[in-house]
Amino acid sequence: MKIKIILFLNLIIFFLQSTVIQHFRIADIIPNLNLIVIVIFVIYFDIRSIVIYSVTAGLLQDLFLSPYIGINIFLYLIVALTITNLESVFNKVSVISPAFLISVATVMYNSIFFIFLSIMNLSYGIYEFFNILIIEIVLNVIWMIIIYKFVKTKLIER
Amino acid sequence: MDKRLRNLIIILSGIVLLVSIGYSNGGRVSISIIENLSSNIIIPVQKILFDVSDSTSKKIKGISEIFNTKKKIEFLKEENKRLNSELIKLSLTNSELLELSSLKENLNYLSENQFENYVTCNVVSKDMGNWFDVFSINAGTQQGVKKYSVVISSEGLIGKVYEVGNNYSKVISLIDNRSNISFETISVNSKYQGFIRSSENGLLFGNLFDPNATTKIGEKIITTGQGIYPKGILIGKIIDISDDKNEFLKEITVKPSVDFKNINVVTVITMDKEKSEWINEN
Repeated sequence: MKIKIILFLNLIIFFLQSTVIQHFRIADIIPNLNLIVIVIFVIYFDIRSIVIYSVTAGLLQDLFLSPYIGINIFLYLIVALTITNLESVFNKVSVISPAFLISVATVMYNSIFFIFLSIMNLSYGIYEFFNILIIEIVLNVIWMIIIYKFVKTKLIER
Repeated sequence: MDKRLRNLIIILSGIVLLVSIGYSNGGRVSISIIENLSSNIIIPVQKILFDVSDSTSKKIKGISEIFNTKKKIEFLKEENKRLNSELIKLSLTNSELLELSSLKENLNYLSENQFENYVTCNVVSKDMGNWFDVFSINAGTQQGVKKYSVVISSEGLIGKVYEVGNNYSKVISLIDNRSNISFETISVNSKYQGFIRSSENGLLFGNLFDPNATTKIGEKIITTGQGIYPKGILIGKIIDISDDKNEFLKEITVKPSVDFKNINVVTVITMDKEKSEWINEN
């Protein structure tokens, strides 16, 4: 995929996630559109595109809306590279594969974030962690299925 | 992908992460030119999207509320009855009101015209994840905002400015902030002082200096004016009191008065030169 398209997509997701999605919280939790896009990239595009998207998405998020610069770049990269290994096991026909991949990605992202916060002495209880994790998995899976079906039928199969 | 290359990327990004976290911990002193330039486009676009989606979500919520109208009418009728009886009980004479007014003054509770230098601005975007309560506002150095400027809303203390650009600032909330906040209780009988030292799950934890303090659950706490926070800003309400056996101090749990997920308009208290110099020195 061309870098220009990746950066453009990145900006759209950044704008949506930081503004529009904020007003449609469920139990105070929002889905992570960047993780969803990363999983779609893993399924359909090459490793170069995956790495470029992960780094630029993390950078944009860290620069404008994170107290620590680097955390999201690192997390998106780690998640993307791990999911790349898992992706070959599954087929692209079923929606179960992307649903499973986004669940693994969400667990990885939030678990590493939780450990990082504990190291930085910004404590969240284990109950809060599972509360965020479970709701975010459900939201991400729902969004994933919708976006995956759209991408598959409208963009890939055309 | 070659396994060695993948491992190399992970190790390198790990090193980058540690270095950049160390560099950005506590907020950067200044924002790069590229960020300032790009913010000239990003912040206005975010403001438009934020405002449009805010009004849309309010309309959607309004439509869904229609279905609950009957229940609400019943609830309001009951509430009206209760309030009428309360009103009779709480009918105050003019002298009693004056008394309350002087009491408010004595308690140093935040008054409307307390701050001379302030900027009212909009929230334009919020943290993209679910872990931090960090958000951006459309006011920066050009509007007089500085790093560590205090951010409040009509509900109380929100937090402080973490990083400042020319026309935007990154704000970090009380609950993501690891610095201590000095407070005092609002009590009719006696005022007790203490400090907030940590937060967890959206609640604040602190200690009262007086081990014999007779503070009650439900009492509100305000800032004392020590440190960066001006005097008299509402922090929250005490929801639990216990004895801290290790420190022989009373431990309190405070629910912040601000709902950090629903902030749209904020006021930034811009510091005078004296305060700014004090912060830089400390």
